[in-house]
This record gives sequence, C-alpha cells and structure tokens, in this order.
Amino acid sequence: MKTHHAKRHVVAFWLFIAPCLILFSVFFLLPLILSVGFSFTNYDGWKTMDFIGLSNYGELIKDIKFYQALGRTFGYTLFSLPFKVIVPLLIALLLCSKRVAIKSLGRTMVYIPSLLSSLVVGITINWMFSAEYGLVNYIIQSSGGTPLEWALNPRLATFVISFASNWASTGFYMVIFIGGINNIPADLYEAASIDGSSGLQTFFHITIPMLAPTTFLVTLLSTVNLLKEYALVQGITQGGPGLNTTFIIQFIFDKGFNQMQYGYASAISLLVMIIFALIAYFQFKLSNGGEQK
Amino acid sequence: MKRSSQLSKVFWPSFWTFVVAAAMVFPIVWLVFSSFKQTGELFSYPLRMFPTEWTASHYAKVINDGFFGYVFNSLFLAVVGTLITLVISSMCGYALAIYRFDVSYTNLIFGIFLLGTLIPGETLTVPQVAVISELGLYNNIWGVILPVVTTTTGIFMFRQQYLSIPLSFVEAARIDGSNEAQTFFHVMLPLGTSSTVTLAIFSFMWRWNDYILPLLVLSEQRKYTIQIAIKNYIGFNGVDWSSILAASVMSMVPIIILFIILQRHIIGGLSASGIKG
Amino acid sequence: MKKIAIFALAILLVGNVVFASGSQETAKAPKALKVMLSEEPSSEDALLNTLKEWASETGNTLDVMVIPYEDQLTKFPLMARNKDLPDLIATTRLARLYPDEFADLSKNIDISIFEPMAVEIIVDSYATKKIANILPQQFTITNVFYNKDAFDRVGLSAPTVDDPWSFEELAANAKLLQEKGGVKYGMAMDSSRARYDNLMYANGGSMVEKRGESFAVTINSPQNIATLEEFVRWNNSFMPKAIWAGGTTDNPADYFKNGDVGIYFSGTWNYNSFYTQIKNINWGVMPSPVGSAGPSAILGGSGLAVPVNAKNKDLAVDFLKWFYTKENFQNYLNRDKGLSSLVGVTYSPADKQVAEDYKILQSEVAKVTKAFSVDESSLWRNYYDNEYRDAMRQAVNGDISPAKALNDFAALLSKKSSWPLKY
Repeated sequence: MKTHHAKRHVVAFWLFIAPCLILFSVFFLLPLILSVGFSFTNYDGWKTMDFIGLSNYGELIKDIKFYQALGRTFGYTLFSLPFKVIVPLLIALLLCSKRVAIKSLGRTMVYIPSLLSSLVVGITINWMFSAEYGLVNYIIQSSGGTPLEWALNPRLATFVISFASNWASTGFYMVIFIGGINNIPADLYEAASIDGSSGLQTFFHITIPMLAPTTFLVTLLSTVNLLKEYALVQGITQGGPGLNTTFIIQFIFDKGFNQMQYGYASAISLLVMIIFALIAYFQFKLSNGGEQK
Repeated sequence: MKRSSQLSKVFWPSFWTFVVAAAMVFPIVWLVFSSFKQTGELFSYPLRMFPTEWTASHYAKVINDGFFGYVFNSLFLAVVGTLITLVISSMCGYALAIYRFDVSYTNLIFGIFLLGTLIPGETLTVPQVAVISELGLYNNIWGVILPVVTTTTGIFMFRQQYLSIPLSFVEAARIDGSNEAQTFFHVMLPLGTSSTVTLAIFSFMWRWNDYILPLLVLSEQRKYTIQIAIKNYIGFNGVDWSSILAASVMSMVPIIILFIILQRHIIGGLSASGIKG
Repeated sequence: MKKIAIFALAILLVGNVVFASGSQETAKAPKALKVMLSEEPSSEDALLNTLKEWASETGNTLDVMVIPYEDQLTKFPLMARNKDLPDLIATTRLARLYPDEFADLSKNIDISIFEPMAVEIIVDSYATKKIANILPQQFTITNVFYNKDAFDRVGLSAPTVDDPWSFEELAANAKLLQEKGGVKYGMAMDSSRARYDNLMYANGGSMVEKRGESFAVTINSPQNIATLEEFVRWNNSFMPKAIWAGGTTDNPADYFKNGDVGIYFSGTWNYNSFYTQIKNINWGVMPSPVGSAGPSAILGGSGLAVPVNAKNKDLAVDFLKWFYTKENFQNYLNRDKGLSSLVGVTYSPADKQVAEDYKILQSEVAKVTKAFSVDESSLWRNYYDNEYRDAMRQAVNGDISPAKALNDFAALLSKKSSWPLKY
C-alpha cells in the first residue's frame, strides 16, 4: 500500500516537473552541450567546423586580453556591489517606516525604472550623462563648474554604467528587501522596545541579522548580474574609452559574432561560466547558504 | 496606536521618500518631455525641461512606421509567455516542494535549474537558435516564447511558497479522495495567488523587454517586437533620436500601467511565504 | 534526447492549434518583393522611394524588413541556414563576407554599364571570386564638410579644389576655429577607420603591400606610427576625443548639424540629410587636405545583392533591370544627390549651390590611392576589423602608445593572415 503510494507520488512528481524540465533541457541544456562541443572546434558560425582539440583553451590561457577583460569585470562588480545592496536596503527601510505617508506611491515610483528594457535604460542614461548634450553636464556648467568627461575618464565611464545598472535594479531589490522586512516578526520589535533599546540598537541587533537571508539573496543575484553586464555597456559606452569598460561578456560577443570565432567564443563562455559558478558557490558557502533561520 | 500627531515626525521621512522617488523617475520624465521637442531643440543649449514648442510629430512618425503592430506582437508574446510560465513554474515549484520527502533527488533537480541563472544566457544564443531552427520554430512566435518560459526565478518563488505550506493540507486533500492533479488544482493553486501575481509581472516585463532572441528568430518585419523596432532607428550613419525617444516612451506606457494596477500584490507576493501563510 | 525533442514538438503542435493567430500567416501575396535594409528608412530615403515607384509602376508590392546594421552578422547566417532570405538586400558587407550566398548578377545585367571605379570598389573587391554578386547602389566617397558661419567669424575662406590645405594648415585652422570661431570643436571625424585611413594614405602609408600573389603587413611602418601620433595630438587639441577613444555612442554628425564643429570629415552619404535637416547654420563642402604624399579619398558604398536561395529571385532581378535603366537611375540619383555609378548618368542639381558642392565632391573621386585599392583587395578586414578599431581607441585614449597599438595589431594581423611583417 505504502510503496504503491510512493510510486504514484514519484510518477506525479515527474509529470509535474515535466514541462519545465523538457523545455529547460531542449532550450538550455542542449545548447549548453552544443556549446561545449563547439569549444573543441574552429567553428566560424558558418560553414567551417573542424575538430581542433584543446587548442582554443590553449590559446585562451595565453590571451592577455581575456585576463584584462575578466579583471575589469571583477573590478566593476566589486565597485558596484555595495551600492547594489545598500541603496535598495536603505530605500526599503525608508519605505517600510511607519512614519512615511506616501508609501505606495513611493514604492511605485522607485520601481518604475526596473520596468524598462536595457535598451531604453541606455537611451535614458545617455540623455542624462552625455558629455556633449547631457543634462548633468549642463547643470554643472550652468552652475559655473567644469563639465565632466563622462566618456573619456575610465573611472567616470565605469561610474555611469554602474549608475545605470543601479538605477535600473534598485526597485527590484527594494521589493525583495521589503518582503524580508515584512517577514520579521513584530513581537521581536515589541520585545526590544520593552527592553528599552534605541532605534539604532534595534536596527543593528534585530533588523540587520533578521535580514541576513534576504541580503544574501540580493548579494548573490546582483553579483551574478554585475558579472554578466552587457546590454547597458553596449548602449552607453560600447566598451570605451579605449577598452576600459569592455567586460567579459562583450569580449565574448566581439570574438564570437564580430570576428566569427564561435569556437573560441564558446571556450571562453564555458570557462567564464565555471568561474561564475565558483564565485556563486563560495558566496553560498560563506553565508551558510542564507538558510532561513 | 503609536501614530504621533506631531507633523514633523511624519514630515521628514515622507519628505525624503518623496526626494528619492522623484529622483528615480526624473530621468524618465526628462525623456518624456524631450520626446515632445522639435528635433533641433534636442541638442540645443540652453537645455529646457519643457519643449519651447510642443510637437507630437515624432509620435505620428513612429505610429506611421507601424508601431502598434509591434505593440500587438509584444503583447501576444508577453501575455502567452507569461501564462505558460505561470502554469509550468507553479507545477514545478509545487512538485519540488510537496514531494520532497517522496523523491530523494528533488534538490539535485532544483540545482540543475539553478544552473540556468549562473550562465550568461546571451553566450548560448547561437546554439539556442540552432535548436529552435531544428525544431522548425524559426520565424515563428513560438520560437521566441518556448525557449524562455522556464525561469528559475519562477520555480524558486513557487517552491518557497509551497514549502511554507504544512504537508497536512496535502494529506487532508488526499484523504478526501483527490488524486494528485486534483490536489494540486483544488487545494494548492488558490494558495499561490500572491506569488502568481508577482511572477506574472516579472515575466511580462522580461518578455516585453526581450531583444536578442526575437531579433534572431523572427525574420518578417510584421512579426517584430517593440524592442527591435526601437533599435531599428539606430542606423549605421546616424541616429534618429526623435523617433527613438518617442518609441521608447511608447514602449514604457503599457508596462508601467500594468505595474501600477498590480503593484499592491507584488510586495505581498514576495513577503507572503512567512507571516501571511 | 530525440524522444524529448519529439515530445516537445508534440507540445508545440498542440500549442500551435490553440494559439494559431500568431504564426499561420506565412502565405505570401504572389508578387511581393522582400527587401532587407539596415535601418528604418526616413521618408526621404532614396532607395525606398525608388522601390515604391517601381512597385506602383509594375503593380507589385514591397515587404521591407529592417535588420539593424550591427546585428546583421548574427542574424544573416541564421537566415541563410533556414533558407529564409529576402529577395533583395542593400548591404555594405554581407556579399563580401558570404560570397557564396549571393547570385551572380552579371548574367542578368551587363556590368559594363557601371563606372569602372564603382565596379572595382563595390563589386570586385567584395567577391573573392570574380563574379558580380552585388551591384552598385549608393556610391560614396569620403569628403569634408565645413561650418561657413564659423569660417566667417575667423575670416577664413575654404580651400579650393586647385589649392587644398596641407595637414599643417588644417591643424592650424582647426585650432583657430576652436579658439575664435564660436565652435566647440575645431574639427571632428567619424569614428570609422575609413576616415582615419585617409590620413595614413595621404602620408604614404598603407595597411599591407603586395608581395607576389600574397601580401606583407605594413601597418606599423614608421610613417604610419607618426601619422597616428599626430592624430592623437589632434584629438587632444581640437577634436571631440571621446568619439575616437570610444566611451560614447554619440555620432559627430549630430555635433556638426548643431553647429558645434568647424570642419567635419565624413562622407557623401551625409549630404542629402544635411541638405534637408540643417536649418540653423550655413555649411558647405571643401576639398580634402593633402598629406606629405598627396591627397587621399576612400570610395565605398553599398550595393544591391540577390541571395541564391531567395524565393522571388526573378522579381528582384526584374527590379534591378528596371532600376539600372538610365531614366530610373537618374530619378534615384536625383533623390540620393550622390555620385553616380552608372556610365552616362550624372546628377545635375538645379540648385546652384548644390551644383558647386557637387563639383567638389566629384573631384574627390580622383584622389583615391593605389595603396587603398591594394589594401581592399587583401580583404584584411575579414580578419580583424574590430581589433583595429580597439587598437585605435586605446591609442587615442592614451592607454597605450601609438607605436605599441600599431605593432601589436600588425603582429595579430600577421598571425591570423599568415602574411609576413615588413617592419
């Protein structure tokens, strides 16, 4: 009787996950396997495809531009990550405060940039930060300052992309934080206020620790998304000035599509994927998997 | 009960909320006003917030270029894609949560799905489109919908939601004589509402903003989506800024309206797994 | 895997029955010419209007599709593999990159009706084998625009065809314009190698040189390094540096239209749009400056190609036959206001100013150098177009020295092409 039930449950389990699993296998795992296959060839995206063993990988470990692109990607991620996590957290706290009168309107307005496509975000940000006809430089100039060279200074160019990325994701992460804040049991706060703890103490002793799993989730998601930054770069700096904002995904695209080295591009993608997976794994381990309670 | 009558206590936090919120939408507002400026005024100093001479001619041009057709295609893609995502993600999340004691390898399977978020999806585009072509879905709206309906985020959200539900609920339904499918539909589906709305808006937004896959798979102009339409104004020798701005603004409107209608549920959806359950 | 695929297919079929509305409209009107362009055409677009004229004359219909220029390289192989190609493609590079995919049009149209120069640039250099898989449409050449108002402010008169400026005069005048001409930048240049390379050719440099049947890489020659060093100095002094250093998606044509640039290096394709769009400044065209080895101009252009596997190939050929008659091509040229690629057809502007400008534009054609033709025939671009752009960007931005940029690029090109290095 029991085994009969268990068996029926196993069958039901497979039937329930079948649509997702099949679509995922066909449109994701299968391309992934193909991509692994391409990485051992000199595939040019067209008609040439000869097996060349490990030579793509051999070339890759000697490719200085690959390491430079990877290095820039890490630099960009490390620079942007704190903002990606802290800004939405602060806004979420503000918008959960009992003392704020226009919560729902505020949340909606903060969330709106997250609704836009990368293409539109790029266009909007260009309109703000363009060195020539951008609003920001215009304001600086009108108030007597020297216009900033957004497109020429590597740091400023990286900043603009980081700003765009933040602007477009703050609403999303804020919503996740608001969810986490609402999940903190109210009696914890009551107990704290009975103990006479100050607002700041409550924040550091209750809010922050209780939000750890949420913070972990946001950190993990933003890390992966920052490492994968591509569409915004393409829309704002196109990888310049020089190569200062050419991050790893753009590097792969340049090789693959623009120079028709699909085999080589596949090898880079796979290596990059393994590196990303390791980073995510370490974040997972370090934070104990962000286990809920 | 704690609400103080002192205005200042409410004033400053509300004031800061307003500042933050206004700063967030300001670039969009600027874009919207710019889209009503004459082409010449776009690049002329001094910059002004409001157009000196309002014109809707850019909108007329974009509409004349067939923009509503693209809106329809994007709507079809987003609505159908979202419906499929909701159904299959809730089934999958349900199975991963409810059968976790019956099936020993649920975590392994969940792990495989998690792999999907780590891989820079863009880099798989070429083999992905090869598979789509092999399946005969090239230049077919389904070739744009089916590859993206499985989302790890969706599976994850539903899994979390169903994990918070006591298994005794399920047992009760089974004792009443429901089979597994009936159990899912009659008992579980209504409980998933807030996740459903949240995922619905996310999914709608993702599909609405998709660019690269529609571009590669669709090869007839009348099947194009709005994002491709916007990009088409960026030419090799010049950019039609006025049209781009108008098209961008028009692409935002539906999604913002949808969000405003559904926004209450979104915050609820993400926090539902805990105290509300 | 096969089972899974079949299963997936089954689901799709069911899905298609349920949601049939989006997909089952592939049936075509019998005589619709499917044309592929690289950007959404404006209402003044010469080719589109000519196509429309053809359609209304012959009773056929048009099905225009746009694939953004930068996404064409991703998209085209997919279209070809799916045997889903438009009937007619207006392109600058697809026929060169995928020569086998396009039909040899010399069987249908007599190549001798075209200007030899246009054939050499657009037709010959594109096809690796000597077939005409593309025919000239828009024949363009690099040229120099200037801001008349700014010139007037500093009392400068534009050089004449008989007495062009040297690079030294150009630099001095650009500086003067920036300081006193009321423009933000004395000079601007499109971020395209075909603009910079004119400086290289004019100073006697080249990308490669012919060695028997093959080539040798000469891009890192001392005079090329000197040219690039000079160009970097220009960028730092009186050009919008961000354009060449990268870091922006701006197009300097917008700066010029807006009156912010004194001298603008671009090409004839801009003439028509400047003519219709610029209202607030006076502008003109001037002959290009001369380097230590003489003048230089780069010809280019887009052509019309018909894919081998196109569904309405014959219809496309019909259009081409119609298009290349003297009368219809003349109409096209009047709309385009560009150079003619057809023998015996010239654009004779009614507007006196345009006629004068047109003379200057045509004088540029004679400046095309031998070195440029050799470089083009080597098809080096098929290897490393992007790497060259990146090398230039880094040099202009000051990340690496011009010498290093060119040496590294030369080494890369030599490795990929297996041509020896000369320097």
